[in-house]
Amino acid sequence: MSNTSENPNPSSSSAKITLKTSDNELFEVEEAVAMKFCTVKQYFEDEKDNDVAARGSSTVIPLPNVHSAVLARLISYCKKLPQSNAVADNHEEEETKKKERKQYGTPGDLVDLISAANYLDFKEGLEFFNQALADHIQNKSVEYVRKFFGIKGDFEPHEEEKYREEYAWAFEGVDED
Amino acid sequence: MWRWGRRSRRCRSNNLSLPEELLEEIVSWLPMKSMLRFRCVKKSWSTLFQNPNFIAKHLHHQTKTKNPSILLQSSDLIGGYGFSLHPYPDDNDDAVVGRIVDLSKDLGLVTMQQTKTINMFSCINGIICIGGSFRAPGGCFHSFILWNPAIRERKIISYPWLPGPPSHLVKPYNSKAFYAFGYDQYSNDYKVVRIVTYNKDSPPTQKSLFTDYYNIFQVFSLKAYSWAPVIDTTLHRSNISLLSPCYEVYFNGAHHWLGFFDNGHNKPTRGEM
Repeated sequence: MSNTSENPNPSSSSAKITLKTSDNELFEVEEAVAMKFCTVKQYFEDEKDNDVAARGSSTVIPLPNVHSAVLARLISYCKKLPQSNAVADNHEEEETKKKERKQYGTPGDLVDLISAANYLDFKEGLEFFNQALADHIQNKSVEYVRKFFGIKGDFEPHEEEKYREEYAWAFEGVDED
Repeated sequence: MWRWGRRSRRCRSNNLSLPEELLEEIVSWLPMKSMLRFRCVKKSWSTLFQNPNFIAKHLHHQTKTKNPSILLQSSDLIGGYGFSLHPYPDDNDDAVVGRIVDLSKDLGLVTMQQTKTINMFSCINGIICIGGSFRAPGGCFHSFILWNPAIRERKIISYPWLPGPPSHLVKPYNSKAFYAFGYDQYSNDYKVVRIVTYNKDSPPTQKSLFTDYYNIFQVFSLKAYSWAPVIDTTLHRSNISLLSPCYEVYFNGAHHWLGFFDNGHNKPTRGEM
């Protein structure tokens, strides 16, 4: 178990784990991939402790909070393993990373991916998709962000106006929604 | 510290609401300009953006994703100093890689036309500190400028009054000044330090060891927005001789200078901020 987190190379571990999504789809994934999801790992280890004879081979791990479409995306992310943690050395690299983050679907899909990564306690993926969503909203208006996340503004109009005046330049160059 | 949410009971649904803790994680990846705009989204965000833990996390994420570099460029010939800063925060155009920032245009300052007008230049956590002699419409002044390009704010902090050496230290003597800018993690504060050292020209004798030296330490706290002297007799009278402002390094949150105890044996030592 010690090297599964460092070595995601599937050939080193041929064991498979079956995950069952909220819409009752079954996914057979490499153990190394499944172990990236700490919630799955925890469940798997608990199962093993409870039932030594089963040895995991026939275990189906239910994921009632994850839809099959979302899980498929998460697994494909795990397999691609983008170098999301390295610092971009230059502007082009940063742009490449942004493009890479853009591939994982619409902003709505990203919200689903973030929810799922959070539920699965998948830190690396959570960080990646959080960044992807931040990329999406960074040039958006205050109104867009409120609507997108279902947030109700609670500033008095004059308070908000004061903030807008204080850093008026931060409200320039905002995307049209 | 941020703790990762585990096994949230929230079900996946068609609306786009995410728990507050996840929203906070997402916004911590935003550039400064977006955060200044999104302060208006709701009160709790405005408060969050001022939280020291959040600021530290945001800074960590910024340096993780971007690799900004700042270069001090001396250009005495054209009467000013320029900085190349990458990426400049207001460049929305992604094609712009870097930009030369002009001291006179961006900060409304001109350096004085003489040598050594800039005493110090330091950049910590995205805040740039420039110390020196400047000319502005109001006249000449010796000061530090704290400049945060990400929020386009600058503060000018005049050098404090220098009491000078005590009367027993009579001329001729040497005097050197050292400047430092740093972040004090214990008080979550930015500080500027000025050290002025005085020492007699002649090599010290056993007798004069503690009378031929005098050091003045002054610290500016950004939080208190004021200067305060450091009162410590052993430091004031210490015969530490710091070599030169060039032998200075900022490491692990402390400024280090190379120097030695001036008692005949040259032994390197260090001063910490």
